[in-house]
Amino acid sequence: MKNPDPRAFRPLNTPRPVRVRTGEGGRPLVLHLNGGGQKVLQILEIWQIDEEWWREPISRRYATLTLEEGRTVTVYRDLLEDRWYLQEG
Amino acid sequence: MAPLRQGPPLLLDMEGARGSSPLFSPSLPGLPGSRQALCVWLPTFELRLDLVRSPELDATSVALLSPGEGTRRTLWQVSERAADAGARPGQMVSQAISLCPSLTLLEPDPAHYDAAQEEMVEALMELSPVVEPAGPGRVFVGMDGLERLYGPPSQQVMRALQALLEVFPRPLVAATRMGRAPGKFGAWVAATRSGPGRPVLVGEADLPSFLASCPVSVLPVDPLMIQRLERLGIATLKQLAALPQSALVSQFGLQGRKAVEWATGRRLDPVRPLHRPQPIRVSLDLPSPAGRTETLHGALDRLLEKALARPDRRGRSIRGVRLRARLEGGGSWSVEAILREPAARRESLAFPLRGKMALSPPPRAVESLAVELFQFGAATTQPGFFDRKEEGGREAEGTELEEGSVPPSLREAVRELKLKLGHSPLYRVVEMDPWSRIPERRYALLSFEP
Repeated sequence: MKNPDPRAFRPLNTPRPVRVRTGEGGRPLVLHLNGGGQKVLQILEIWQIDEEWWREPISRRYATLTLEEGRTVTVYRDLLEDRWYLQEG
Repeated sequence: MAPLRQGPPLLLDMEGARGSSPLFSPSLPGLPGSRQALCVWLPTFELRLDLVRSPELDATSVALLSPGEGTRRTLWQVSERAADAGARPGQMVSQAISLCPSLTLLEPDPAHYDAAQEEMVEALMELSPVVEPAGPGRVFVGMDGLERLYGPPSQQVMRALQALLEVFPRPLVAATRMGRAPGKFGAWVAATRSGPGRPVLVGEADLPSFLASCPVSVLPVDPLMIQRLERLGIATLKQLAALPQSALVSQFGLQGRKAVEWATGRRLDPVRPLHRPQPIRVSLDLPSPAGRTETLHGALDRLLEKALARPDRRGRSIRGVRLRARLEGGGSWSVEAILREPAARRESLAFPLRGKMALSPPPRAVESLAVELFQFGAATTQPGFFDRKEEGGREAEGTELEEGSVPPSLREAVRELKLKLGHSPLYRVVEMDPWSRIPERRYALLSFEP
């Protein structure tokens, strides 16, 4: 059987790893984007998803943040891997 | 000419506002622009233009009606004499008449105002190549590097006045306000602080102290933000600048950051040269003056077909369309629509214009009708790509392909690319699980292989 071309299908909005400095209670304080640190001015929203416990569990805590430069970004902490990712919510 | 009044100048965020902002016109991206800015501002531009045409009204109480409000008309701009009698911009006509029985009401003539604005821009382009219109009667001129040509700033301002005298009568030019400062915001604030024949020039070093004493209402931000600041007792830019930036960003987001940067003179928006794609205009003289909606709709459809079929339209979708009419007995009327999504179908362009016509029909019978396509969607990087005259391909007369159909020219192009690259580099977005809580599972790119 012919192998499918991996270029034929691409997921969109895949999470990208990001370095995050956290504070008390795991609150994100600084995001390291494009080599520079951006202070988090405000956490606009926090939500958690726990899915697919019956096969490969997914557990993420998302946060929408306002950065000091004025940008709004969404990040999540993978609660199983304990890693941070950048992704549009 | 007597001084005139209008509502507070409409100022929107220079970057944040959607659609066209009076302080931010389409300009060439990527160009550095001019740091030194001259703001040329003619308050109550429209009413002044009407009074120039009818000087006999200059000594009377005059008001210009708001455009496009159907039967519940309000005042748009009022003369000083009318204001003294109690007439105010935004007031209902009935209320204004009861306060000022001798009030003369003028219908707006948008075609005349647009033509005058064009003349103003053209005249100022004689002074500097970097000219950016910012709403009716307000133009920013880039002044970088003009010292050698025209001398110091005060003489540069005089040259601007002389340029206006070439196209406008003296009373109109005499009422013009001018402000020169680094950046558009500083120049605009300087213009609002100037008087007729008394320009305000602000040097680089004086900008922060000049801005400090100005009220927060000069900021080009959402009026609600101004209201909130004033309620909090923050009346001047100096008081605003004293607040921590993080607190302002936290309260007002990006606007808060910009506001504090403008207030301190740290943010200098350069004047950028105007990018004006040539509008496409088509017109139709009606055999006899017409007022029936069906007749006007029929004429509109014909005009749109003609405009879309123009060779210079091909490969471009339309974002802004205007319908103008010359009215029986003089005067003009116009409505315009800015489409949320650029379109190139007659129906998509006609629908919003018909809606606007229903809300604000021409006040008298129409002698001639004209359609102007004035804002365009992104031009295709391969003009003619969809226009190749092949069997089954897109017709040239402005008609679109049916949704989902693929023209042979595109099929052929994909085939050529696959031969060259070994795979198709084109993709389309497909829905996977659009309601999934996991964002990367909602949509995907699928190789486009027609």
